[in-house]
Amino acid sequence: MNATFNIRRFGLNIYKELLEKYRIILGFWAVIVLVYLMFWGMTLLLGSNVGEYTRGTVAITMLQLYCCLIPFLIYKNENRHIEGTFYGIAPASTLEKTLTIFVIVTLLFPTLTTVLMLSLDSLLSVMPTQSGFSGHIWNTVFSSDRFLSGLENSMSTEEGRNMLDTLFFEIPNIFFNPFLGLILSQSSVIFFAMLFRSHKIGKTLLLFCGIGFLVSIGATWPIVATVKHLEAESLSAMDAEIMVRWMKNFVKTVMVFTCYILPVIFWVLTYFRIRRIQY
Amino acid sequence: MDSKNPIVKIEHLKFNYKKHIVFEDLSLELEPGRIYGLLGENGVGKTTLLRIICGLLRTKGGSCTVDGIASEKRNPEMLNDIYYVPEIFFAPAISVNTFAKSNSLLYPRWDAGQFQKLCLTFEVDPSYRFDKLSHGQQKKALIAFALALNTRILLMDEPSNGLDIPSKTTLRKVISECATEDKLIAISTHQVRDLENLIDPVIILDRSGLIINASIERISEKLFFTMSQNLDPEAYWSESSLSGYYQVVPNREGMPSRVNLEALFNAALRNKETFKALFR
Repeated sequence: MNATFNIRRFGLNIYKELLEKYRIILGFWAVIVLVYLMFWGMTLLLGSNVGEYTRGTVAITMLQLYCCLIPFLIYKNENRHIEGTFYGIAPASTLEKTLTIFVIVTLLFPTLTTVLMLSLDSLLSVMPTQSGFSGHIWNTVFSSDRFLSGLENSMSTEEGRNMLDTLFFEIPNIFFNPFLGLILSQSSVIFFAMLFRSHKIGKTLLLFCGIGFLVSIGATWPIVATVKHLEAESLSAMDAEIMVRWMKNFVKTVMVFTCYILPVIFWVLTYFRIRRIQY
Repeated sequence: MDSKNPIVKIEHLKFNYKKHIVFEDLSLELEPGRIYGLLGENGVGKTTLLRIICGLLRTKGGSCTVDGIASEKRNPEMLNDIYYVPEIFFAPAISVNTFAKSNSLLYPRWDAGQFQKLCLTFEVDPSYRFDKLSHGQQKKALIAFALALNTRILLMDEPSNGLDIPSKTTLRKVISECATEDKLIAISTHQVRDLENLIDPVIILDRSGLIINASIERISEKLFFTMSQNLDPEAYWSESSLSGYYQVVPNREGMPSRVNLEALFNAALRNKETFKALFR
């Protein structure tokens, strides 16, 4: 039998982990349903009517939050000295263990949770109530242009909207799909859930805040420094088209890096973390 | 495979926890068909050694191989033939039956019928939630599970800790029943009296490494365990009582005697270098 990957062993490992963790997932789904019912209840109490676009945004935001929380819930103990012993000696390879996490946390959980949330939303939207939910969110949730339409709505001038159009026109819509962003955020969270042995959520949040702060400082400092040294005339003389092209390439590069390269890096890091955990 | 070929080979093992050195140069071979008793004072590395053998810890130098595979690689082929019963473990919030069902999936020689029988012998109800059982019951459930996996290597860390007296008797009985010619069982324990008639050979560790790795037969060839009125000046260890002195003395006349593990352990700790030379 192959020591690195064996399909039967992989399947059995998924089944094993689902048997052990299904209660946690079911409990979490119960909380998710409750939160969504509370959201609906609030709209009924306030007598407001929430349309499909707003609900789509709420549902996607909630889904992203749940998908970031789930690794901490179901892989809480796997890297701990005492609690993780049985995980450490389980006869599956590191690759199989890593892929099992991927299947459960990144494929199964988001898919089933999306179906659960959207089905619940559909059910609530057909309830014969004066206020509450109206319209179906299935189309709005999977659409990629929510990000762009949100940005465009925030622009007050026609020029601004045209510039955004020019800037994002050539970037494939897939980059703005919320599910792709979910894969990125989840891959990093899974890595940190496996890296930290205690206070996993707190440490991860602190790290994210720290990295966010450093990145924003690192990104703004060179821009401010460059602009400071440029004469006002040379700034206005700069070809706007070159500027837009440069921005377009920059956004595209950042998108490719964050949506494709970073998740792969985090999954590779998770693999090596599982391989090197000492119990 | 020749049953007397060592399955576990430890060569010049080095291990430390930050500044605390546990093993500097430990070499050891473990053969199938035996129930090894791993003895030693607190902190000499008994648990660490078991964890290194099953791949939970990585060596800092030297090697530890199981059937020729480095244990630190956590090769699934190696892991499905080895199981470790820790002294302290985390009982999940699922029933013992579900735990057994899910955790046995990757072990090819798992016997569900044997597990149910062992649970009955230990008087554990496997339909109960694992985390709701008492510590002793949890331990018995895990031991029943470990034995029913039928792995070739079974490592147990203080298995009798937390068990009541009848359960200790049951433990001895079930372990001896499960011991076969192709199976290696290693038990780390402080409760030597609980497992006295079970373990053979005996391994005694101390901070400098291995003091003894010898069979009970070899120990009784070299040492004589006796109770006498007079204290032998060459006694390795003695303890006075109302009926005289219980002593461990050199077996000068080649007389057989019943090996007392507690006395042996105390004698070994007091005469480390002598015992190392004696059992080399």
